[in-house]
Amino acid sequence: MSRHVSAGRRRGWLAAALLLAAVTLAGCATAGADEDSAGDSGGPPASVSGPATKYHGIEFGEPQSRPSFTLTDTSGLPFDFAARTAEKPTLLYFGYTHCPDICPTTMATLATAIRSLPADVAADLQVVFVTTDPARDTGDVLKTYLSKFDADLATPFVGLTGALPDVEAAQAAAGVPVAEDAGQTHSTLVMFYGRDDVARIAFPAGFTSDDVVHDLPLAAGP
Amino acid sequence: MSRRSPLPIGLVAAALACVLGAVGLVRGLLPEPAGAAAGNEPAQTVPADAVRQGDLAVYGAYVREPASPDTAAAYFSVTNLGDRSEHLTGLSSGAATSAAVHDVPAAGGTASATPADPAEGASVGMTPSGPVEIRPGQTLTLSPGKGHVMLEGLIGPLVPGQQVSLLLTFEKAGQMLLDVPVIAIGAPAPTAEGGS
Repeated sequence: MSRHVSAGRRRGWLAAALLLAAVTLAGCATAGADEDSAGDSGGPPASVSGPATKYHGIEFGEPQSRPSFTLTDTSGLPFDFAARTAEKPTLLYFGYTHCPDICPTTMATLATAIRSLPADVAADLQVVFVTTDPARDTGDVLKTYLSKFDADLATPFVGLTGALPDVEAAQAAAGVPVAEDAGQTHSTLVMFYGRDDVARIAFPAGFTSDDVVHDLPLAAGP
Repeated sequence: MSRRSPLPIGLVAAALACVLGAVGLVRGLLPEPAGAAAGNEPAQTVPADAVRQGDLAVYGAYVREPASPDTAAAYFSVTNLGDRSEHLTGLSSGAATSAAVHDVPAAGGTASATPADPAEGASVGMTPSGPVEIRPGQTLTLSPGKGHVMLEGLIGPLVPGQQVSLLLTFEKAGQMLLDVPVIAIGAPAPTAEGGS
């Protein structure tokens, strides 16, 4: 597999972000801080965002608007994300089906959480998986992949693919780093948009289903 | 709708959280003293069903049932019970055309909080690892987000209940052949911490 140290566009925001994080995101370094003393991979993930937040996920300083983009669903039909998910609690993730580790772990964790959510929260909850590797992840591939996770759920996951520029534009619209290396280096954030069409939180790599069950009712909006 | 700047501060911060998290996770990959993760357990305690060879004990191994027909991930822990440093130098599996450890930093490659190139330590992609050192008394644990064995080119479907062969090659202890269970996608992982 390729390495994904790439120059250029990512470095800029990373550098800026690094500065920012030093002041604003003490909690997010939890995973790093923990490892010296605990090494406890079975414990809670790096989900503490500091004393000011009530969430287990990462709380945005300013809520993020539900993004607008149109891609293609697993039936080959256009899917207008903003319109189709409007006013529905929505979990949005960018990944790819050949990813062996983070992506299936993320999707399985979300499915596990949904099975435990209160019925009123789960009722209209929509999970949307957007591929970062559209060259390989056709509608059929996505459909088969997602069926491994959502087969027993009332609301099937939505899988979206499209032309690479459109997939990249979707990531940019959602404000996550645009994937590189044929989609293999990609954001690990799961964005959560509430009924009021803003995201207050996102879940970082290593989140648990308990984190989701805890946060969704709080962040689902009015 | 709230205004949307090209690079929303909150998002950048959150993405960075991810970056920092990833750095932390990568650092977490460095072998920990045995027993450190298990609190009061004395050092060098390994599960009774650990596979032992030479100075090494391997345990908690499993393959996660893949959602993809082509790739899967395997995980395990290995504790060095001896007084000499060891290296995991290679892997293969009867279930896949290739097997390699990914996302473990190269020997001595402790990810810094301020690497020269932040992307170097922030990857959430697939970085093949070189030989992985396991120092005396230490345990290397591969677990989701903290390193995995990438099984690529699956020879057939992997379904829960199956056993997959995994051949680990160590510098001193030689080769260890494991029979590794396939765990269902939504099922809890067998703990790899030497506990239950």
